Amino acid sequence: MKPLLVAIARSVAVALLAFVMVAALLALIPTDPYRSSDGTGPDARSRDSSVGQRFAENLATVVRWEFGTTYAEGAPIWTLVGYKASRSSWLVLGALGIWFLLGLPIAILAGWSGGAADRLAGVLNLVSGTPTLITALLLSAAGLWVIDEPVTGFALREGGTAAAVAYLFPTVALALGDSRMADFMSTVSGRTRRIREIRFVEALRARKSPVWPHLALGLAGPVTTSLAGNLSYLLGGAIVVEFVFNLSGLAQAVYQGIAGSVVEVELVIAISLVFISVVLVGRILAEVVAWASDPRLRQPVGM
Amino acid sequence: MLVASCVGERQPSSDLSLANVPPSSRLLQTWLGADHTKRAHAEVSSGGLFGSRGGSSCSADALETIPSAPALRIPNRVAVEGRVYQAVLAEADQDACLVEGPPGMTLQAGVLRWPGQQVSRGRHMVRVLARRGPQPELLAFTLVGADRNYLLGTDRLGRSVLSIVRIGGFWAMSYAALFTLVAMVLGVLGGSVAGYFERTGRVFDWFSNAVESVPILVAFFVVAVISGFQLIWIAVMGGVVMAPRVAAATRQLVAELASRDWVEAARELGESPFAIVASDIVRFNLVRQITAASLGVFSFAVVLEVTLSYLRIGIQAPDVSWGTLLLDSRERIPSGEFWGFAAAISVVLATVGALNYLARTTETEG
Repeated sequence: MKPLLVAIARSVAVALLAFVMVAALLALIPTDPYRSSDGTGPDARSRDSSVGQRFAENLATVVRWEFGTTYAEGAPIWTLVGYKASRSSWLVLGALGIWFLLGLPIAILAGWSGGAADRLAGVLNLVSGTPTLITALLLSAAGLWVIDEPVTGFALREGGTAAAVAYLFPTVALALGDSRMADFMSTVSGRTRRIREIRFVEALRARKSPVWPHLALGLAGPVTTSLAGNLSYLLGGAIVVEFVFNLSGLAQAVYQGIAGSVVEVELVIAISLVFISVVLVGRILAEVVAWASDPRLRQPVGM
Repeated sequence: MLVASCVGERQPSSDLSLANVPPSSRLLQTWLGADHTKRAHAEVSSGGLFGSRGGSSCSADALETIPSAPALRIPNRVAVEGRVYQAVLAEADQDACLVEGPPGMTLQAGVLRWPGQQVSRGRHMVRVLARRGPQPELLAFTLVGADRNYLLGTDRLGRSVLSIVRIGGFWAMSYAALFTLVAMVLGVLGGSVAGYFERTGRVFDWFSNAVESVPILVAFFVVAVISGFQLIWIAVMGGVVMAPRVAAATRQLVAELASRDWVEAARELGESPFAIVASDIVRFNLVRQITAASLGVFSFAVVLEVTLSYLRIGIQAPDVSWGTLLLDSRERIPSGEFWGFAAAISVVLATVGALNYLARTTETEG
């Protein structure tokens, strides 16, 4: 149990370090003159505050847990973040679903038996190599032929085919873009190939005993580790996908917070916290699954 | 803005009268579906329509709503000043007459002709009445008069798409080169030190994992704001943000090589750590991997520049780049004018595909 707790503690410490780095990066953004002049920014964030003061203020915002309201909408930041997160979560979860339902079985088959599945995996890898922006734009344009209009978030309100396409196309764009699915599939197929070549698995196959429990246990760790490692890329890709499909989610909020007419530092800090927490949860989950599925990790040190 | 002013000087000239001109090549017009001709059944209420130029009884609304007619041979939609415009109608439409066209255009024996001296800029509606079957058909298309051949057409400001692709390519490559230089120099230096010295490596791992936890695009947004949206600084600071990821990969390679016997032997012989890392490990053993990684980072940087410009935080309209071309031309897709979109998508895909292929080949075959 101790190695698992150490690994979890390390993941939490890495997340804290990541947050400090984000706070430092955001401190480099000059104080927004609009917010300073009309007094809507925190008091300490004066027009002439130094980078060090801004960094301290960014950290204090989290320590005191005082995020306030957004300048643009006047809504409490965490209410807004919660609302946007609920809209973004289906996008990321949908992309992960595509990896599981499409990528995982094909990668396992490709690693286990090769042949047609291997060729199909090769085609998926090729498609997945397309940048997320390009995949999203092509799918958005393809919506013209399906629902007679470019696919945007507005179609979600229409229901029927238009809404289905508006859900499916962004999810597919996120799942396929930037080689992340290819990376995931190559991890799974490589691991499957290695498991197949293990002596006792070969012996089980010769005896015609079921090998899937060993395969499942052997893949559980690498699959969750690969998913956890790709989470931050998926969250980054969601920014592009939400922008292209005009979806009002968390990623678009961070874009507005940074690149909008008014820089909303507290909003960006809150959303960065959400992003880092999601990655942290993914890493802890990967550690737990690896610990539960690999008996070697459960052995006391020195045995 | 430094870069914007430089880009501005290199902009293709704009002329609103030449906005949205389709590609001059008939082949591209056909591929991109820009050659559609609208067709309507003409209601022959009086016998004097054929051979006259009096117009048709079809309403303009009807012409707009009727779908394209793929069976017809379609005339080119672009006429160039000083050059004769000539289009031969399909055999079935040889016995046709011109209902409406620009001044100087004639239709004789199925050949639509417009002398070069009379070609004028702008959009001209051409309507041809064809005696096909019992019901005569009215063919209508918009002919664009341009001052020169636009191989890939023009954008909404009348600028040549080919010029935008060329100039956008220059900026994408310049940005990517600077970005790659900074990321690789810092990444390889940091990764080599972290890979050779174990204790430094452990500290570096923490840093590297923390960087991996932050979505990289968020970091680039902040970098863009800090640098005041100047491309040159976005490239430099973007390279700094990217460096830890390069360093993580370098560290793994160096750490693996640092445990080999010949490195141990070099240490015993009294070689300095700097000489071992720089010469023995990196120079003689990692050049191929570093070259492949540079190509990968270059490809990433090209995509990043396009993405940032598309998101309006890189190069911004009216300055030109592949990203702004994508953003601008995407809005015209619903009206069927997607030659700019097709050009931008093709050039980005070709560039990224070629770079990735080169990176993979370099890594695997050396």
